[in-house]
Amino acid sequence: MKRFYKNPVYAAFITPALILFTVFTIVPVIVMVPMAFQDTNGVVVKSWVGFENLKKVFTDKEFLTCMKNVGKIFLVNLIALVYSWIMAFRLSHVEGFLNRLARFAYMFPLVLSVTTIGKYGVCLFGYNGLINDALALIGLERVSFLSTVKWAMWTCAIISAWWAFGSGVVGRYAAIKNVPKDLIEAASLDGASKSQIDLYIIFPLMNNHHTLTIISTISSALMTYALTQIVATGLSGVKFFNTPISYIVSFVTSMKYGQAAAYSLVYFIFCVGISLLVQKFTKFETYEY
Amino acid sequence: MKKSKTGGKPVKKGFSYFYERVIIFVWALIELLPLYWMLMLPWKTWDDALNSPFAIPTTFTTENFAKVLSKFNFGQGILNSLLYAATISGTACLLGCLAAYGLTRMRKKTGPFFDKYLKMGLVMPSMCLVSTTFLILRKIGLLGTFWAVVLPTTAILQCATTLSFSVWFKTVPTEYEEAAVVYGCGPFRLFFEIMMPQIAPALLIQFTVIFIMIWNNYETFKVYAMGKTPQPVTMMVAQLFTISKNQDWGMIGAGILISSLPTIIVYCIFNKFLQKAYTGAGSLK
Repeated sequence: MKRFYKNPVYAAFITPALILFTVFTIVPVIVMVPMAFQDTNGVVVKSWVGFENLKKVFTDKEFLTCMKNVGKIFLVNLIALVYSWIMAFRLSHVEGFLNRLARFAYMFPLVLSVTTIGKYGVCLFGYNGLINDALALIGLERVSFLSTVKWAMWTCAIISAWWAFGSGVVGRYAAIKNVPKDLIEAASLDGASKSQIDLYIIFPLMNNHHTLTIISTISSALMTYALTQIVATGLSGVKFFNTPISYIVSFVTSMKYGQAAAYSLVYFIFCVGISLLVQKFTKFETYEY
Repeated sequence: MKKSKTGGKPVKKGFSYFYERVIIFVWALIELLPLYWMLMLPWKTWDDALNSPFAIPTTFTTENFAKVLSKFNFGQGILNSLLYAATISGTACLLGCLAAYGLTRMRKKTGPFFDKYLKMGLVMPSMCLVSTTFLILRKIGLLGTFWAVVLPTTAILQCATTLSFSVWFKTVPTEYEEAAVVYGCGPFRLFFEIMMPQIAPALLIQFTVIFIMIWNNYETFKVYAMGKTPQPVTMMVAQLFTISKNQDWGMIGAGILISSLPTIIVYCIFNKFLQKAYTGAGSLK
């Protein structure tokens, strides 16, 4: 059997995936490096500009604003992540119809497209939207959530966090249900309350789940592009919604590929660095139940 | 007082018992609010939709649907979305499955190397590569075509699908393969007839998750398709926003409802399966 597995035909199994991955994921990274030092329109290299493009990245205030915007999205998503744990524990205490209804409802936004969620958010936070109606009902002034620099990105961050929240709750609920019942029963027989079981038995057993959710929250915040674009369509303050990715895309559409590559390279190193850092400080553990 | 199922402390139906349930129920309503919004908005007149988007329509009108359908061929858009989603999820699953089988069964030193190589894609921020991928697609003459969307998307999905299928292949006992090899089965027949059916549930889950992801995708179409390729339904809806300039919400609502209806129906029928697929848990009942 060992000889059978040495059959070179096994290389043929991995070749298509390797070629596709190399051409559209590794090659773009390699191409990005020399391009970051060029002034090019994608067809001809006009000149080599040295570190000029990279200098611009670090002195560009607009790009810094984009980074701050991503930071806002990450912060709101992180708060939502913590609250999703609390909701998941609450859900695990409930059974029957309410549990099934809640899971159905919580997963629902996940099947909606970004175009739907974006415009739903605009309606919700718009001047005549539900949130402003609620504010008016309690005697407060209506707020222009989407057209003021102070509120625009926070609003977008809330929409993004809400979109991922429900499915996050169900995901965490599924992880809670995977914890062996013997452990919970033993703790319960020893007199532990529901909240003690949640906090001291179930929560520490979810280390791997925590790591994965933190990494995915960071990466989805860093890659935010579509939602902010959709929310911004047709609004006056489009610039309020810029993220690093939309900023890079704007260079691509204006055919400034050298600058696009420089911004992409810096942001690429930043993103990979962040995910490696998170992985370094969080470790995957295996438990033997 | 009711005893707890585990035989421990008795369950008290106190304030926290009802508080928990009320919170869960209220949040469920909040999560379902977009459904109500989608169902109400298209039937409203211009003024109604603009001034009170969440209220029940005072006068019902079908004008918005007529307007949307005269501007875009949504039937074609849905077919295009189906084609994109089916091609990308099918290709990603097939290539991921092949690679995972090859990697888990390769005994040479190259196996672990390629495994790590593909796993690099997991930390790869795909949208950062947009500028150079755009150029590569232009150089090979694919920019603005159907494949400009399919190939980069499939490539970045490879890592996750390969990793997921590798986990499943590791759980399949090698006795099946040994028996098949004794009877003279070759590697490809072994893969397609013996091994692939073993991981059919994983294939179905991955296919479904990727299918819905692509159906709802916007950014890849926006950047690589450049409006030249067959337009998926999400791009048609996005164009509606530009045309209406955030004013004709009735028309926007009609477009959104038509484009979302297929996924809503699928979700209502297969929601339990989708919950398991998304959470990767067999523990949900």
